[in-house]
This record gives sequence, C-alpha cells and structure tokens, in this order.
Amino acid sequence: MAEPILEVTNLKTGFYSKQGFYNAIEDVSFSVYPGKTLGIVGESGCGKSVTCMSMLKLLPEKSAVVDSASSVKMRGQELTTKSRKEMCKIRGNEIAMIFQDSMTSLNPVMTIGRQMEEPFMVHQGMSRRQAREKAIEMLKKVGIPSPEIKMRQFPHQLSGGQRQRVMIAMALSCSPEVLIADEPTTALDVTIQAQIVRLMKQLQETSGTAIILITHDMGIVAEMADEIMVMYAGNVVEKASKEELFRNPLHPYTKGLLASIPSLSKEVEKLHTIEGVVPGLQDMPEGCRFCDRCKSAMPVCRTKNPDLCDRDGRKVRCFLYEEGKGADA
Amino acid sequence: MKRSSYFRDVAGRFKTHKLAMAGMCILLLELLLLVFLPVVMDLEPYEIYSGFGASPSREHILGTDNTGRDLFARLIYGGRTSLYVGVVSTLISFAIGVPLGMLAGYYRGPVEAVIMRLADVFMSFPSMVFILVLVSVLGPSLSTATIVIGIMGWPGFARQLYGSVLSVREKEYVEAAKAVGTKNLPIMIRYILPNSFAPILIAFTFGVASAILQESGLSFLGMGVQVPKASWGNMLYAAQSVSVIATRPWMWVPPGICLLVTVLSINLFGDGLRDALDPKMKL
Amino acid sequence: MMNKGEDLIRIEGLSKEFDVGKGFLSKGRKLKAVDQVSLEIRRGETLGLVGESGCGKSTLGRCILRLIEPTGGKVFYKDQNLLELDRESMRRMRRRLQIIFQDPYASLNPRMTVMEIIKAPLDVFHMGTERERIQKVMEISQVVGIREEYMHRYPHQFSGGQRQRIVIARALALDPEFIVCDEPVSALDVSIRSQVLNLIRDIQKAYHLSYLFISHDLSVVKHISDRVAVMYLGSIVEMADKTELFSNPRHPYTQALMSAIPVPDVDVERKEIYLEGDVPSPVDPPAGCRFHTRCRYATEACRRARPELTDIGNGHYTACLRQEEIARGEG
Repeated sequence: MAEPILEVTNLKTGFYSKQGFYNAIEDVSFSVYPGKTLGIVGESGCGKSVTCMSMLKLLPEKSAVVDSASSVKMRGQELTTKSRKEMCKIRGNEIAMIFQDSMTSLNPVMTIGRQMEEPFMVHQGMSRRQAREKAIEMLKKVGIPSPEIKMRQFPHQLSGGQRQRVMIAMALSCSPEVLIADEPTTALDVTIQAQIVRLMKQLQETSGTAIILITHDMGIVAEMADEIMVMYAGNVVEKASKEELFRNPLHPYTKGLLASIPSLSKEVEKLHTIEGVVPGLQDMPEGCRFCDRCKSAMPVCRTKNPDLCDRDGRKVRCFLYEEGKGADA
Repeated sequence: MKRSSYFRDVAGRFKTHKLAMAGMCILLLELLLLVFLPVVMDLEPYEIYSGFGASPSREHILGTDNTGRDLFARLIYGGRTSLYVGVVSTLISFAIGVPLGMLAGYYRGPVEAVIMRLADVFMSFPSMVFILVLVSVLGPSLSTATIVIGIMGWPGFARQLYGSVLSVREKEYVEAAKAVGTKNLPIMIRYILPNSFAPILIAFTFGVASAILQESGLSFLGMGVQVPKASWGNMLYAAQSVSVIATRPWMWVPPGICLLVTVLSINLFGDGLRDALDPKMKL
Repeated sequence: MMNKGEDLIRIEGLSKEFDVGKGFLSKGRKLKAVDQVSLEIRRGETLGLVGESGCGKSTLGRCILRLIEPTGGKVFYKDQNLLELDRESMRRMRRRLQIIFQDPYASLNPRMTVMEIIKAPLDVFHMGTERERIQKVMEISQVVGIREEYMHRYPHQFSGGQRQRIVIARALALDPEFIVCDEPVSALDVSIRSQVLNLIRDIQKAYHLSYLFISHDLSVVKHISDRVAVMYLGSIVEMADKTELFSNPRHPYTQALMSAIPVPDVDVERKEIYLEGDVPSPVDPPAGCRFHTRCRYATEACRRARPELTDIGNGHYTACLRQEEIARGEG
C-alpha cells in the first residue's frame, strides 16, 4: 500500500468539567491513504467528532486537553506541536472539513460568491477576478446549476442539497489532500443524499483526495468507505476493510449494531437489540466499556479494558480474540 | 444518572455568580435593617424635635430636617416606603401584564392584535408626563404613586411574556398536551407558564428597581409621597436648594446612596438570576 | 370490538393549505402541504407513510388528529367524520387518537416529572380516583420499560431512548385505538432505535393498536408496516402492501427512493437511479404530474395532466400516467 498521508497514533483527549477531568477518547490510532476513504462510525457520544476536532486542534484550549503522547503526522510533519496559527493555515489548505449543518457553517449575510472567492484570495493570493472565475468553475464541478446566479445569492436562498454542494466546493477549492466530512449527508433527504455521495465519490476519483468520513449511518459507510473504524465510548473497538467488516464483524458491538438495523432484504419479526445505553463519561465501566451491554461478557471483561489486538490483519478490541484466550465467538 | 432538580441547578449557578451574591446579601441586610432598626433604636420619623435643621449629633445621627424630624429615622422609614412602592407597583404591573401577555401569545389573532396594540399605545406615552398628569388629577399620595406606577408598567411584562409564549406554544410538548385533550387554561398554566417564566421573573427584579427610581423621581418633583410620610425621593426633594446641597450634605447624601445601592443590588441580583435561570439567554 | 381488517380511519380528499407570505398589502400565496389525500387505515394494521422532508407527511398526520385544522376533505374515525365535531366532542375523541412525536427532547414538558407527564392525560379526563390513576401509570411504565424509581425524575435526566418510552407511555395512558407515530425513531441512535421499534410493535399487539407510521427511512417503514404509502409534494403517489411495494415498485419516484437508500451490506447489488435536481417548492408546484420535473420517464402528457391514484390490482395503487409502459420496461 502507498504511504499514508495522515497518521494518527495514540490520540487521547480529555475534558475538564465541573465534576472533574474525563477522557473522551483514548488510544485512537489510524492512517489515511491518498484516494481512499476511512469511515469512522459510531453512535452519538462515541468520540468520532472529538477525534477529528482534536486532530485539527479545533477544541477549546481552556477545557480540552490533548495528551502529550498523542501524535498526528501529516506527511511526516507533526501537527500536535504546531501553533494555532500554523494549524489555521493547514486547515483549509491541506486538510478541509465539511460539516453536517450547512446553514450554520455558511455565513448568512455574505453572498455565496464572496464566501467562495475568499479562500482563493487568502490562501492562493489570487485577484478577485481570478478568484471569481475559479469559484464559478468549482460550483460547476459540484453540479450547481447556473452558478453565475447562485454566486450572487445568499445561503438561505439555496436548498439544503445545494448548500451542501457549496460546502463541498469550498472545502475542495484549495485541493486539499485530506477531506474530513463530519456527517455530510445527515441533514439531507435520501435522494439528495444519494446525489451528494455520488458527487463525493466522483470528486475523489479525479482528485485523489483522502477522505475521513464520520457518520452514524452504516449504509453510508458501506457505500463510500474503503476501511471502517468502529468507535464506542471513546475507544476504537474494531477496524477492518469494509468487506471484512460487513461480512464478518468480530466485535460484539459491531455485530449487534449491524444486526439491529432493519434490513430491506430480510424480514424479521423482532429486531435484534443491544440492551442498555451508552455509558456517560462520568460512569464508564471499570473494564471493557461495552461489558455492561455485551452478551458474551466474561469475568475478565469487567476488570480490564482489552487492548486493540491484531487478528488476520484486522484490529479488534475484545478479549474473545486475544491470543490464547477463547475461540471464535 | 445523577439526581438533580431544576431549582437546584439554578441555585448552583446563582451561587457561582459573585456580584449577584453580593447584591443579594446587601438586599437581605437592608431588609433586616429596615425591619428591625426602628424597633431596636426606637426611631420616630414623625416626632418633631426642638432643634430644627440641626447638624448630626449624638442624639440625631444625621441631624434633623427643617421641621425638626429625625433624619436617620426618616431614612429608614423612607427605605420602607421605597421598597413598598417598588414591590407593590411591580406586582400590579405583573398582575395586569402577565395574563394579558399570555392571552395575546396563546390565542394570537384578534386577541393578540388588541392587547399588543394597547401595549404599544401605553409604551408610546412619555410615561413620566402621563404619571404626572394622573397624579395631579388624583392628588399626590403614596397609594396614587404606587397604583399609577403599577399601571404604567404592565406593557413591559406583557411584551416579555408574549415573546416567550410565542416560542413555547410551538413546542411539541404543548402539542402533545393538546393531543391528549387538555383544555386551554390548563395548557397555559401547566405547560406554557412554567416554561416561559424565567424572563418574567428577571423582568420582575428589574421592574422593582425601576419602580423605586420612578417613585423617587416622582417624590423628588413633589408629586409622589407627601410629607410627613418619608421616602428617599421626598428627602431629596427637601434638600433641593443650592444652599442645602452645598452646606448640609447629610440631608441628601445618605438617601442618595441608599437609593443607588438598593437599585444597583437589585439589578445585580437580577443579572445573576438571569444567568442562573438560563445560561444561554442574554438579554 | 370490530374485526381486524375493517377500516378504522378513512380519509377522503384531505387537504391543507397554508397561507404564506401574506403581508400588510400583498395577498400572499397558498402552500398546498397536503393535497387531496385519500387513504384508509384498517384496524390493527400499520400504514407506513414515507416521503422526503417537506412532502407533507407530518402535516397529514396532524390533520387526521386535527392538531392542524385541515382546509378540506373528510376524516372518518369508524363512521364519525372528525372534522364535523365541535371542539368539546373532538376533545373527548382524543382519548382514542394519539400521537408519538419525533423529538423526545421537545415533546416532554421539562417542568413536569415522569409521573406527572404520564398521568396528565388521565387527569384531563378525570379517569378514576387519584390512586387508580397512579396505579395505571405504574402499569404502563412497566409495559414500556421505565423503572419505578425513576418516576419522580425530570425529563432532562433521561437519555433519548428512555424519553421516547415516556412519550409512548403518555400516548398509551388513555387506551387509544389509533396512534400517529411521527418519525418516532429518527432522533435516536442506531442501537436504541431497534429497542424502541420493538416496543412499538409489542404494544401494538398487546393493545390492538392501529398505526400511521410516518418516516423518511424506508428500511424502518418496511420493518414495521403492513402497507406503505409514498408521498411526494403533498400527494400520495403510490400505496400498496409492503411486500408488493418493495418487490414491485411502480411509480418512478418510489423506484428512485428505493435505489437511493444506502444499504448497510456490501454484498447487495442495487439499481442506481439518480434523481437530478431538488424537490420543487410546494408554494408553486409544477403543473400536471408533480414529479415530472425530476422524472426520467416524463412525457408531454405528464406536464399537462395530473395522474389519479389508480388501482392496478392487488390493492396496489399508483399515480402515474405511464406506469404500464414503465412496468413493461419501455420507459
């Protein structure tokens, strides 16, 4: 495989709250390769967004602490030690982001044109005229009809799907090497979602951008991702290629998650459920974080959080798969 | 899950607000003094002593006024009057404004149009002028001042509540209450009022402060509380002449300071309450 | 009690128009949120209603319960037209007709405890003594799975899934016959979603309920429904038995909708039909067939005539002028 563009090792972030200090994510490691998509899936509060925010230093410095042992390397360049100012340059130039809510991410009192032109002028030093041409070209690329007219409009005059296209156009305007898409289609309707997914796949093919796709929707990762990382309560619980993960999930959480989604092809009387709820930061179980909801929990699960171990080239955090303990579940 | 209630959360947030706590302590202290000092010190605000216009002495801490009444006793009784007018007139505004605001926001349509336009009319009068006219018709007295200030204050409450009712009435839990057949009045009282009450409570504290100021202003113009009854406003009125301001500061400085400190404390308390009730809301 | 299969709710030509942009001088325009919808919901069945945001599915659900006053049409509950009832009779009727909302964070009064919330409907109708009401609340809470010691807590102390259980308990308190479920699981996490879906199914059996299940998620609708109706821009474009609809979708919109759902399975091949463009604004919907602006089969006729919802056999209804040709593969 090619050299990874982005390598994250041992990322650990904690937050100060009134009740004390809690780790939101721990021991998160992954690599992103050019032209490939890494899907990070998990339910709300699993730490998938915190992972990306800490990578990009977007968390409030006052309350959030990224552990000093964490490392985020972009083409061998360490990002964790960079200053805010340097990071600001890297964001937008080399790493771009798309958020779920395009209405709040776009400035409501600026025309689409102004917002599109700005990155070209700021990051690439173009004149307004050049930037304008470039912006129209970008809008065409993401399939916005009559871009010259849209350039003069304000965000609220566009539909949700069009706004998301504008966001993508802005994110890609400086041809970033890594694109982080945080729930890019969650606020959209299915038919529009399909358009956006297709657009992102096409753009990736032509530009070779690496994508980190954060979502809770198993369907979307199945569609877009090459590799999938499943997170639960701040831990990576499983990491595998898309095919392996969907055909043969290993971790009990991944299994439960996949089984609990109603399927269009199969009929079941009762859906599979994972009992209980995700533990809060304050009341993490002592051992494995999933042990209270796990049907195959063993005594050891309650005392010690398992390490992420290798199994046939995949990673899984579960005692069922640790060397010398238990067979296949 | 931790046990907590809404009230406890609010109290917790309020306690961390230093200025608001200071304001509350000052107000409590003031209340204690106003209630107990007359008894403890045997103060007589209406008694006319022999030496009128006297300077502070051991007998009369702040001296006496032009008729010979003890100024310290008048300061304390004046405080009682000021707080009384402040609280009672705000209660009157509250009692008129809250139901009207609720009705306007809940029913919308013609009800809303009538009530809110009425509020606009009230608010577009220069209120002090209007109060002066009313007082001169009814004759100046403590109760007139209280009632007039109270009546003039309702549009503020009505608008404030109207605004929050408009947003709360669209909440799904209100729709849910309708869906189970709850009648309009219980919906207003059990569902809408408790959820739109925070701004009103805050408005109440600020209302008290402004009513106190209005009363002192009115009394300062000689149209409010009338002598021999004491109020901070009419004590200032009595000290109006240039010679008194220049030569006998004990006649006007203490009531002035009391007024300032009281209004400031109430406002600080209100600020803290606002932050505590809704950390997101900034007026 | 009526037999299963009989119509419990029957809607005829239901419409709702909202006034939009009505200013001081301008007359404003009409937004047709629901346009001449007719359907029936049988006793004990779940009718799924799918469509994208803004298609009018939630408005339709609320119009049936008169939480929004419809501007035209009829809604029959058994043989009673609900729209003819006066306010008080309608209020009494609400015991039988309930609703479960989408957002469990918004649909519970934050100033009331769980006990008060579930008991409120019983209080409204003065059902039995205070003690009997509490008894009833305890029973329902057990059914929906809220622990007894939580009864005096406030909604903000619960997670989304638990809140939705409280919402369901409140809807059950009055022993309704019909419940509108308005996107009841859309706001929930995947692992919680299946718990709530199972609960909704379980109580249906236990209490003989009929549902109108509104959702934008086809896989959820397929799991829970007996029949499914597909809505686009205020009208129903296709309605059929669940298995029939999913195996043999006839309306081009239904087909596109089905192909657009991402399937959480790498081994499923699906037809890719992409819809171009956005949903037109309901303020000024396209003439003729509402879908023709995005339909790849659209002809001149589609731009002019508005297709009726017609029975094509087996209780499968579709509103497309060219459905026969499309079915034969001549598109």
